[in-house]
Amino acid sequence: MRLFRRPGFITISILLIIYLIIGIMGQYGYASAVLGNAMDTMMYIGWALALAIIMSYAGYVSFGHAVFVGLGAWMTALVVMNIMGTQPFTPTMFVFSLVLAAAASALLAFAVGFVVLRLRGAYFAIATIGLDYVILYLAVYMLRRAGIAPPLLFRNLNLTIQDFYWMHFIVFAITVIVAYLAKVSRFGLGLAAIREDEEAAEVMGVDTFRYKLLAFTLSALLAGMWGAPLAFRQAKFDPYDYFSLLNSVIMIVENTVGGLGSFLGPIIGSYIYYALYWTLLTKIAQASFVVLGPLIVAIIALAPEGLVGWLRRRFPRLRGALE
Amino acid sequence: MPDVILRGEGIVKRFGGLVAVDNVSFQVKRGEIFGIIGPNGAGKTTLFNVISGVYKPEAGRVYYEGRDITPLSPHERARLGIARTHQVVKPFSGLTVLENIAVGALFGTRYGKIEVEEALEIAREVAEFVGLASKVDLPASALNVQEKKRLELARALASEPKVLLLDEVLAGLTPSEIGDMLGLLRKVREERGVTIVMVEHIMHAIMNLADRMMVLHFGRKIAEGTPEEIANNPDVITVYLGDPSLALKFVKRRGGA
Repeated sequence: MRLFRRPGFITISILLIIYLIIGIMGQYGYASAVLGNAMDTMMYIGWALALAIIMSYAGYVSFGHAVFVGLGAWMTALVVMNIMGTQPFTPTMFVFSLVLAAAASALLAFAVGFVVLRLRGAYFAIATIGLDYVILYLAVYMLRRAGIAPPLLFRNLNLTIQDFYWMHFIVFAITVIVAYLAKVSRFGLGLAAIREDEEAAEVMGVDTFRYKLLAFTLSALLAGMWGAPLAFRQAKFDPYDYFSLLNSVIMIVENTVGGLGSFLGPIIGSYIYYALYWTLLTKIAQASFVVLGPLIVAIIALAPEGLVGWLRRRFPRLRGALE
Repeated sequence: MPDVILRGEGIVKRFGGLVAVDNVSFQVKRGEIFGIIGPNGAGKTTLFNVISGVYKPEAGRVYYEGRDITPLSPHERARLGIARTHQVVKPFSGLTVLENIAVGALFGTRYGKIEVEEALEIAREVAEFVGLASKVDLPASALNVQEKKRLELARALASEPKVLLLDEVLAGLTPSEIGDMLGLLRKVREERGVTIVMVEHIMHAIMNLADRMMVLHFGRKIAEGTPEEIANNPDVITVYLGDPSLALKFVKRRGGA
């Protein structure tokens, strides 16, 4: 298959090999200083690519996409504290959390998408923000009913940073591969048609409603999975933190800065975002968002089509390589 | 009626108080070029939207190959072999010309039978056929009007349709571009055996090309027949052409062009 010769496949291979090497070095006590950063970048890329399927590929902005990350973390809390509440940590516990997180998020997105994806444009974005708040307060309510003031702190599972790293790596690998296949398949071309002109897409034979619903469900499934490594790493379920609209905005910013409609865009956008965030955080700490906001506005104003879009326009011959 | 590929029966489409299409029936035979003419606002594009499924009619049925397709959605009709172009072109601007055409191939009558790679191959052939071969790697937004019209046609053709609905593919073209497009349409019918239904304002062109045609006026069908019959029809002359000697001119040009 020609897939193996495509630029996106090379991008994926390079990413996975680099993160694999970092992980192996971490396992032997090297590179421990960068393990945290590596995990952060994997997570940001993962979030961005998850959102990309509905936002960047299909053109529907899900403004409250953090709801699925939060829901995934909630399901993980359920597994760690209740369902397997007395058992020591095993890989099964992680896999079980992952599956439950993915399933819950996919189910929620399917149900909600079935109703709101009939709406176009801003209505969908607004509906997803509403969803985020509904699930946030539902989680807070359920915790309080159980006599817990959020956040819910996990019991000690005796996990190391290396364990967290491999959790991130597994979910990262799944996300990049699924997001890439969703882009280059028939599904991806159908979504691109919907993004560019939904009516023309429908008339040309694209089952637009079904494709949008599938895209939203898949997008939520991947975002939901990210709740698991996040909750394990932070050893808590903090609804106010995980359901924060800020997380949703970060995903949107990563996609926009990188460039819509491409697979490479969200990845580059995530690195840019993280580089700025980290640099500012270590230099000016709490004030970082004050500087970060205007910086991102400036980037978007200078290159509204995103970095990948800008490169494609500036260097048309690179178009094929910038998938 | 094995030779009738597309049939409309008593189609009514209203927008509020306006009856855009008023009890229109028609039959299109397999392999023919069927023209629909009429003044602005006659309901031609609305009728196209009913045939392609974008609008649901208030009354009436649409039959395709003997099957009632009235309840089907646009994408289902596309997969059965009804393709259309839009009066106001609707290219997928951010995609390349090749990708645009590939969408047609991938989701047309071969939906589910071919993969992306194959669709791109088909797209290349169709691009060649309509004369866009040198533009395949450009974004669709970089094309001029004539090329965008060709792209609309290419996307529709790539779906391997049995019926092609053309909504004013000639509008906005220069006389020489119209000549090229007419040649292309004849080639479509002859080499691909596609039945063509076309809405057109450019009278001498459609009189030249169509085997049969019908005339709409304020949503109603006022005439149907060969171009000669239409041009000599007193109703048509009165409400549409206005000037009988002008009509005669069209008939004469048909022989010459």
